[in-house]
Amino acid sequence: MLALRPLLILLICVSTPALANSVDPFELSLEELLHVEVVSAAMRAQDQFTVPAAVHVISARDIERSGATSVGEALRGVPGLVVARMNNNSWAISARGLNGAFSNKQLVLVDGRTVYDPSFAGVYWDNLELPMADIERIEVIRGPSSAIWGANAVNGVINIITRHSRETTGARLTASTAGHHRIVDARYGDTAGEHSHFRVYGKYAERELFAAKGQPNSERTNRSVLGGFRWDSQLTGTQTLQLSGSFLERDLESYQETLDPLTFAPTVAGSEGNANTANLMARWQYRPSERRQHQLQFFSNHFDSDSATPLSVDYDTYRVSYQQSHTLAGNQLVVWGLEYQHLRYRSDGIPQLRFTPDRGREDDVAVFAHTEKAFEPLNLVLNVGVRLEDNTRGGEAVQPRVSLGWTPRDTVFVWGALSRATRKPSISDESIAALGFPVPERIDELSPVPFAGSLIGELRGRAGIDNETVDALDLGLRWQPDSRWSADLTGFYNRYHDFILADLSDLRCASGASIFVDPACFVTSPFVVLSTTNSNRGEARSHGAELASRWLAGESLSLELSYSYLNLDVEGSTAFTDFSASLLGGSSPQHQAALRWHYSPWPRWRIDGQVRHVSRLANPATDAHTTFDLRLSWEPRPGLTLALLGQELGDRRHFELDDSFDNAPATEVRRSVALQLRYRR
Amino acid sequence: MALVLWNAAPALAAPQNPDRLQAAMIYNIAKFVRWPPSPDAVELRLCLHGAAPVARQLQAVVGRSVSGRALAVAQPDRPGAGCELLVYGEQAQFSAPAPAGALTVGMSADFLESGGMIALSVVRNKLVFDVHLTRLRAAGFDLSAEVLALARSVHR
Repeated sequence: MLALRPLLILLICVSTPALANSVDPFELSLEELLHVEVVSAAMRAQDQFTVPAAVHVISARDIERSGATSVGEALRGVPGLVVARMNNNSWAISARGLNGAFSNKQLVLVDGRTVYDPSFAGVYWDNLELPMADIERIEVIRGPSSAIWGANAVNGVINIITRHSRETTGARLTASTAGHHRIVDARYGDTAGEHSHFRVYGKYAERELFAAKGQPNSERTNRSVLGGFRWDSQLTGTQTLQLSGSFLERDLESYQETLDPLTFAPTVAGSEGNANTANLMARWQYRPSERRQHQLQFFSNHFDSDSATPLSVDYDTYRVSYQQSHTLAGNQLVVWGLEYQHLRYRSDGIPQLRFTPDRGREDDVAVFAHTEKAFEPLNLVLNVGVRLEDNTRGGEAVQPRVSLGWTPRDTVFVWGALSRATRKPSISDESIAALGFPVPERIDELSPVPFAGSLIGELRGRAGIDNETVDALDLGLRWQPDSRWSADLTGFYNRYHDFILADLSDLRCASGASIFVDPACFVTSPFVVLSTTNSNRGEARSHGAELASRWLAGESLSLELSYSYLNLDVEGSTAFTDFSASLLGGSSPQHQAALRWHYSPWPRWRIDGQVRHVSRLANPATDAHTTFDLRLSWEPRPGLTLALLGQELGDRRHFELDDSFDNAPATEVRRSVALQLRYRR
Repeated sequence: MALVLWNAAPALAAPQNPDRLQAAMIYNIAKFVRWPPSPDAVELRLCLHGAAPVARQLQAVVGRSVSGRALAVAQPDRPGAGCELLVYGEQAQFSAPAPAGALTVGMSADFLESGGMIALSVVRNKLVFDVHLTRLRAAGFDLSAEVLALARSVHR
């Protein structure tokens, strides 16, 4: 997108894998072109290099060359990001650990519109069906970024930016077919009058679920239909307007693991339903001078479902925000803004799984300001920013960030940042009422009374629960000794406070009497309910390092190697919360490594791929796996690409993550081969 | 939350063939120009003068849609004949005024001084462009503020 000059180099800005040799300049935007080096020299684009944050950018070319049909696939192999595939269409994705189906410490945006689900403050990745070929780039920011992005950007932000409609005129068709999916995706764009461009697009995807562990096959398929548009207009010489909207209709078939309400025996049953999402976004930008810019944005998001799961939440979100950026004398940059969000939701549950209250509204306000100042004689750039929020859940939050970048030489950049971020409690944290989920065996050890019968778990939310907070230190080093080789190293230390964990609140007999009141009741009771309530009694610490290195080995070959190390320790302040902590802390691998390559052996032929290794998970115990993807593509004539894509080729099947909280039976990721086509004119 | 605060471009650190880059730049400019209504609704005619290597590279995008019209590339002996976008190579002779109805892009150092509208040049290994907006608008064309913001200089 051409829109703004890199306004705030605060976080991000960019960067991309220097794959330029194999990148066709005609595929670049005007702004990108201005950053490309014309001749070989030891120079690099400043923006990429001097961002004081841990950033990785996936470009449109990376997405195309990965053959990804979903965002989850495109995020595979990003340094510092844990990407576990739980089923053909569902993913658990989190930066810097604490991964799970309900990962709730990461913000995901599409063109500035948040796409997380308010019921658990995480993302249902299967609900994020996007036309992959119209994504301009995906910025992955690791580490707390709440000072800019607001509550929930605790462990990171995934910022998906779609192409300007001026860049997508003409028709495009992509199709992908494999044993487990059939996807067609089409777009048409054109000019609309003298000053406007638009595109309309549609995508149909059919993804078969992977078989549950131990089962030979699955006969369940999810179908989704996506439709949308984007319209960009230059209203006057200084004003632009962007409108976009989309709807997604999904037919869901899934397997649900539940306890039989009478016998409490675990059962797996098929379930059907559908889910609909619709959103609308408007963004107006006004640039009265080169030194000042105003931006006003509005979006609404609607979600409803006809329960494919025992508990479903329908909601509407509206958000309006304003921001202004201003370059002061001495090139000091100031950005400030205001934001208001309204959420209304209604849930539909069953007695054993519901929200109490079952409906509600939230009104959140935020104000933020940032400034960036360069101290040129010292080659230092200081960024200071803070975001203040007052949210219906969690109340007030103060989220500051300070960073300092130093460029001692043209080829070296050193940065450090101190930040605090919060996660506001989700609907689930405050209102969940779940009864009858299977109790992990080890829990018996924690029962204060000896008990031989069945133990049934109960989890309740707690109204008024506090924000979770993280304090983080990030240090980074970038080195680009020449234009062919670069390395990016980041180290971090995070300390989480008031971490939300379930704590033991009661043990009840079938009669409803508490064991603490009537200790004898458990002798006759057929079962005992182990009742737990959410609390802020957790603490966590993590540290780790992420390395990404790129090497342009020649005219036609580029390599990108990444390695991430994570050490995470979650603790509760009581025996029970410590137990809850052990369930959370072990779901992310300690080591991850990936090697990605882009290779053009002959003109119009490409062999791209990626090898990934993910170390074992402690809890739920999961073996390490190594696998690879390989894509062979051929462009017989300009605009037409045919490709053969093999994914997860390392083994016939492997297991990546079984989330014990998501009610879905564990499935193994299958090897797959897809035939893909992209046609553009 | 409009916090797509920045939109810096993916920086592509590796060197590129300058002809191909300049060709891509011309193609991009063609896409961003607001073209006045034209009698030819099918083709947008781009003509190059004294820029054969760039013209060769431009063949890669012939037929692609620019403002709803298919891009056509020609290297006429007499620049200006039916051309809506006229590109002058580094050594090409250009003398104002430009043929009527044509937007002029040049690669010589003094292109704007000689009466051109958009000058492309390479500064410290990067492409830059300068725009003579008054002249460009007087000829019935326009460029969006977004593009102008990327220009090294805008003469008004």
